[in-house]
Amino acid sequence: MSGSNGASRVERWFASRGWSVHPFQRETWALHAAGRAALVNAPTGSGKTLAAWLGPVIEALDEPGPVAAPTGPRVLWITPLRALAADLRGHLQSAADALGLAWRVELRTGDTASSVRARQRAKPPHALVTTPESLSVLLSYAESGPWLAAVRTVVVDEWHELLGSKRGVQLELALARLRALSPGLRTLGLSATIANLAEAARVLAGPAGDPAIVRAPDPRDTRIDSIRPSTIERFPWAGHLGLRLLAPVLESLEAAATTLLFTNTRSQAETWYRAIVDARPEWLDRVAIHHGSIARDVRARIEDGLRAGALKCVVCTSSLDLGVDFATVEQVLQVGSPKGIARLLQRAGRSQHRPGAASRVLCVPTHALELAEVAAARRAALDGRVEARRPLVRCLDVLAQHLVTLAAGPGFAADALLREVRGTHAYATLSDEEWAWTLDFVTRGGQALSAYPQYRRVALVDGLYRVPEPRLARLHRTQIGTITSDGTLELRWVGGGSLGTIEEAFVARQKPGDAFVFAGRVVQLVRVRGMVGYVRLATKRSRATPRWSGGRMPLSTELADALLDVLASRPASSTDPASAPDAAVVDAEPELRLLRPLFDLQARWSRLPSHRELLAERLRTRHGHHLFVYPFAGRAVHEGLATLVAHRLSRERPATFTLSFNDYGFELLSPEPIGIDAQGLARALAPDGLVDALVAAVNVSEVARRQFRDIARIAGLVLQGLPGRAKTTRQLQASSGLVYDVLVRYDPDNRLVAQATREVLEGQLEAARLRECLENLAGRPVALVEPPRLTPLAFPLWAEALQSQVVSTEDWETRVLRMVETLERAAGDA
Amino acid sequence: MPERTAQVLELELGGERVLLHPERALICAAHRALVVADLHFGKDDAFRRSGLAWPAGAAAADLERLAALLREYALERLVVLGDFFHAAPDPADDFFAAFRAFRAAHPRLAIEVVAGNHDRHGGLGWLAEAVTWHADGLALGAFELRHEPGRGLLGYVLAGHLHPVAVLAAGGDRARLPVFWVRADHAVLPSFGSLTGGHPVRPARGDRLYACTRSRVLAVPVR
Repeated sequence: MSGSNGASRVERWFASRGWSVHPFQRETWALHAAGRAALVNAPTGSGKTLAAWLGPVIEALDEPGPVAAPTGPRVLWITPLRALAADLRGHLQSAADALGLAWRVELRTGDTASSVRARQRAKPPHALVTTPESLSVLLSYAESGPWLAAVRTVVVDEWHELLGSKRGVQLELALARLRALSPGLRTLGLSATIANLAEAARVLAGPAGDPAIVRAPDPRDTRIDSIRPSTIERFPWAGHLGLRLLAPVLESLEAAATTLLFTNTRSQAETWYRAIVDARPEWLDRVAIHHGSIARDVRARIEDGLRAGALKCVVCTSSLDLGVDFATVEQVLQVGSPKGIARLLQRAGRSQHRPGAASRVLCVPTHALELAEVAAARRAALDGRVEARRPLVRCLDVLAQHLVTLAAGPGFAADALLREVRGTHAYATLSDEEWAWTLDFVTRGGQALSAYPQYRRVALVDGLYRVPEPRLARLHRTQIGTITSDGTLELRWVGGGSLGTIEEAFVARQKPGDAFVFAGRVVQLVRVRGMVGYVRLATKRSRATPRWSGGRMPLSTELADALLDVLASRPASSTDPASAPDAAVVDAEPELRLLRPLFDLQARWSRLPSHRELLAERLRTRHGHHLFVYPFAGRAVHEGLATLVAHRLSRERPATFTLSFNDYGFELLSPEPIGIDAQGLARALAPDGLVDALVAAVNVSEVARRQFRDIARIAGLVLQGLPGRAKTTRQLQASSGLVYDVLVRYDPDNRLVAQATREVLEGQLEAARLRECLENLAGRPVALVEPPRLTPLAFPLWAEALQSQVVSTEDWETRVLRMVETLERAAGDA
Repeated sequence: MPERTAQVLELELGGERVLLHPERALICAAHRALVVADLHFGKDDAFRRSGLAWPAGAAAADLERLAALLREYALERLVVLGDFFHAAPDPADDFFAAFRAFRAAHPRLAIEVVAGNHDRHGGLGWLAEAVTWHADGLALGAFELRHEPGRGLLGYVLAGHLHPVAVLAAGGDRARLPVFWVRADHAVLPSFGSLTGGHPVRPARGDRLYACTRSRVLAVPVR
């Protein structure tokens, strides 16, 4: 094919720019020409966009005659990030222009004006850049069928970001629809490195896909380093070491022209931004803060500033993980736990723009054990161990939404659609009962025997399932998507202009006049009207920082494993001369040398965790009776273990526990003594009857009720808040907890309730990995120690207690009475 | 409704003795009246008409809760402090079937409803034969009964509208409970309807909060 007209034009263009064609690009173009599906595994900045884009471009260049007006886009380019779509469109358009291909590349996202969308219907572009959600919205229009039938190639960018989420499932369904509309459709995926690339490729390509995997060699070397305090003092083990490293962080900022400083949460980003500009007021105009709650136009200005090299430092969250490169970025800092190996490498890759230079990430731990995590991440990265992204299956909420989407559009016939749906990886194992129930859910409400009165969302009309009321079709289009963001208010200046969005729950706790930090500024709440909070610049200082939900990402199990390896590989005590570390190891892992005193203290007051036994600690403080257990299995598993143990203990004797968990272990806190010995704890951790025990425990702790938020929103049981449209839907607002209670009471067989339980078991509690962990623990004796005070391992869990949840088999009223008594005592003391 | 013995709390408000009931109702025995606020009938009906698949059954269950209270205390008047309806109802709503059965079982019951803001969405024209609507409020003994809380002209105000809840947090445990919010010149009742949400209150010094658990009403200390 290099002999083709298009291919030689591409070669000439590359040569004119001083580039050379990478073998992986040529391979991708050949696969596209041969009609094969492919997943391209390539890092950012490697030329993967052109690898995907030029296949269809070469094909078009090779066609004889002038470019015809298309009946619909020939290429559909799907990106998970709406914010990047505009840049991407420009990039694709200029490549086509440079090659002399008279194609129009257009954009269609939630921000696209309705006039533009109408024009696109009448005069389709040759290629369309869009998001999974906007693609589903397209499917909800009756006239989109012939339009989408023109698509010959679909490119899915950043597939690893979508895989493993309900957005990925939604896209699988949309791709199945596209393949039905356009037989012979070719699929090209782009993905960063994940452990299960082959699975990712199969999920994307669909059942008939036979996808090829194209790997771009990663020429970069990644170095993982840390900024370390000079000494580890006694108790910065939890939470607050971070800002103590401000001085060395400022030094690193000074040394580099432009730095991206990543944090794990938006609150942390706000805190660091304030600290930096307070310490270096002369940088005020050159330091910016970028996170997902900041108004989109402000973020775009910051991105422009990065491109222009006008910024010294951008404090950011995962909002800058993905997307186009900022060639000016010289250095990447990661504040707090890296959380995952792939994620850390991806962030490190944002700094790789000097040719030949290694990409380097400098980790800034916020508590002492994160130093060990840095060493663990480095070891895992050197071994090439990264995380997998497991695709979700059988999400009835996403299927229900898809059915309504199609019914709002051209309508569907049940049998044909079932075949199409079962052709996706997500629904290959969908049972007849699950299908029938989902169809019932959208047509009759879901009760097995009788229909919900006056419910007519979807109806069978002349053999096709349709949405009979245009009003309901319009409402549905506003609700398409799987991202839940309810409970947010827009924040605006009193004088006009948007700052971004903020959690309603945070605003509800503020009185007018209260000050808090937002987007790096101290603002003062003036009033709340409807879905808008009005603020002005505060005259007083405040350190109150809003908390946004979703910020608490678990340590990946791969990194947790590596962490226990690191801890287990360290000798028990530095005072033991026989275990003096070998000098080379110490130099490669300076974090561990620094952690020595902490390990010694842990060993003196309690014991060090190891592979040989399970460490548990029990002690009493003025807060109550604590039981700490350290399996080192990652936060998600610990949540399950904590719930399980609390439930099993409270079954023996009615009790109430407050649970806390982190990536290292979990804590049970009780107002009453926890009477348990090592054997009792081993029994409570027995793997027998795991699922039953978990289901019982889960019901008690109402995790499923909380999990229902996403399901209720995706399946259309509650409406997502619509900024600017709040008035028309105000009477349709309800909490997902309420609808959960209503379903449990009046339609207990509703399968969405069952799905919530399943999601908690498989997703949140990771039942499979939990079982593995319990089986592993069953072979290890329990060492139950009674330390004199909170140990280095216990302290972070104790500090976590503010975020904890309660499991109880005690009568609810007993708990309420005790709380009232406690509050009365507190009031009496005051 | 499972049978249970509810413990009521007796209180003097505006010079009258009243009972606070954990079912989120106030009983004014001197006037043989049951006073409740914010029923929001037809909420699930409105949801279903808009394509949200909420099962039916809440209206019948709430009417049965009212019937049980009327029966237990041998009451003759039902006063609703506004937001009887959630949205403009539809004649085919499941609520009407349940309400007709309730009315037939209580032919002599006086049902007095103060119009709430939600009722003004189109509910006011309904049930004229079964219910006495009061546009602004009404007097009952020492009380002025209204929808929105505030200082009254006719007496101590009993109102609704706010759906007050209190969040208790102590000893690591938390609970969110509907409350009667008792202030110097008015009291706000918790919302009665089982499909209603709640809004945390900000009590001022001197206010009292009485929280409803499943079977009793507890005085909650106000900081």
